Amino acid sequence: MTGTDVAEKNAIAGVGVYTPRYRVDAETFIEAWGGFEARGVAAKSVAAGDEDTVTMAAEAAERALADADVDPESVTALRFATTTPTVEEFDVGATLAAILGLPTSVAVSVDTQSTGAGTRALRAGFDDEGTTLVVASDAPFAAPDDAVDHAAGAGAVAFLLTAEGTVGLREATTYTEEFPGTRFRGHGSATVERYEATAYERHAFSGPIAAAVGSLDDPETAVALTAPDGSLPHRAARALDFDADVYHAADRFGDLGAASALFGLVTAWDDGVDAVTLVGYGDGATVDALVLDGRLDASLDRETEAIGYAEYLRKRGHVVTDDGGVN
Amino acid sequence: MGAYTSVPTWWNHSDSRYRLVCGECPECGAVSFPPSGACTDCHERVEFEEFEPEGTGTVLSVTVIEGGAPPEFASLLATEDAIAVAVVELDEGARLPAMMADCDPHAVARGDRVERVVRRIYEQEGVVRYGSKFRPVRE
Repeated sequence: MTGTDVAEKNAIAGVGVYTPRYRVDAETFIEAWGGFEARGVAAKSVAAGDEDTVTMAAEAAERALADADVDPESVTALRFATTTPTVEEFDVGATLAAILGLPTSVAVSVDTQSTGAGTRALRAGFDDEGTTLVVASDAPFAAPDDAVDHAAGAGAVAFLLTAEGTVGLREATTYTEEFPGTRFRGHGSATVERYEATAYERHAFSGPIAAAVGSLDDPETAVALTAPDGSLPHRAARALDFDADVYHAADRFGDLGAASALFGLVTAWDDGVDAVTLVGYGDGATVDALVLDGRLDASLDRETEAIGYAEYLRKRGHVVTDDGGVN
Repeated sequence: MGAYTSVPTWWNHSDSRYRLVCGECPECGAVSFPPSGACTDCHERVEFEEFEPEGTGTVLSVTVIEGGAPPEFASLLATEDAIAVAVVELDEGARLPAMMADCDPHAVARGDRVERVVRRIYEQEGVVRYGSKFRPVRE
């Protein structure tokens, strides 16, 4: 299916995916800790010491531009989403724009503070007039004994939207309801924390998702969701009022934060699905549910290198400081 | 003792640091990187015609640093164990030294085809310095 019925609106014309080459698997964690707290995660991607959310975003964005055969000079808007910007204040979108060679007239916005930021940025891109580059890049971080850190992966995905794109937005809904104390990161802190009330957290995840999807007129049964681990998306899907085919990438790459749901979308496309309900969840909680028509080809495969737990700790910054010393 | 580059100096050549913007000599046509100073071929001091290259090239020589890196690279060496540093000849003709990324540093060899990527070069005074590195072309 093509997006011809939404030709006057922006649609996705190109996609790019980047994951770092290092992989650590569940067995490696079990050897180190005697257990692995990230349900449904078989392995996950780990960024190298010279990578961060800006460099991963640049990789994915350059691939999306090439996939759409669009000159960076013609991009009119850049929407960058991440829960782990490299600095707390300073527009990292300007750095990303400069790396990509976007024009100085480009309208830059950075969506953060929510794992739903990537889906929210994409939704805004559909409403933009002009050529919009949407990039979600993330590498969540928590204490090494925390389930959030066990699940934390790294990767970026980018979409190039133009009026000539092939993947269109059919409908979208939003749901907002406060659930205090679920996953959060305090002021001045590098680590994500959780209140750890399991039943409450599961309800805070599944309830808003069911409400957002439930308010769609015509949801597709292929559902790509934000996946904090490989288990929660399936739990949330069971709360929907139809039998869903669940798509996420947490089993292969771990928790991809603001990029998570968008990796789920690409996973669905990679499986040949050409109409998807995309669900972006952010603790707070807010949910955006989008129904997308059409698909693009994007490979999630790349050559990889398996690393041990000690290497994992060093590359993640758990033991090595910025000046090369140890914590 | 490391080599100190101030942020304004770094910023001054950011197009070249990020996207390898080169200069074509209006006198002899040779390509220089960065596009400032004298032409690397005819040695005339000229106003270069700046252009963005494809970002692909070939490794002319490579060495692997496993210890004793300048302090600004200490954390990268601590996380990655080894850093491959290559002299790369871009397909447009300019030559430049650069670090390799996204690969096994010990597997890089003379003659390898490489492509530009942007990575953290180092962090100094709280400011991350981004710039180009190269990785093997895998297609």
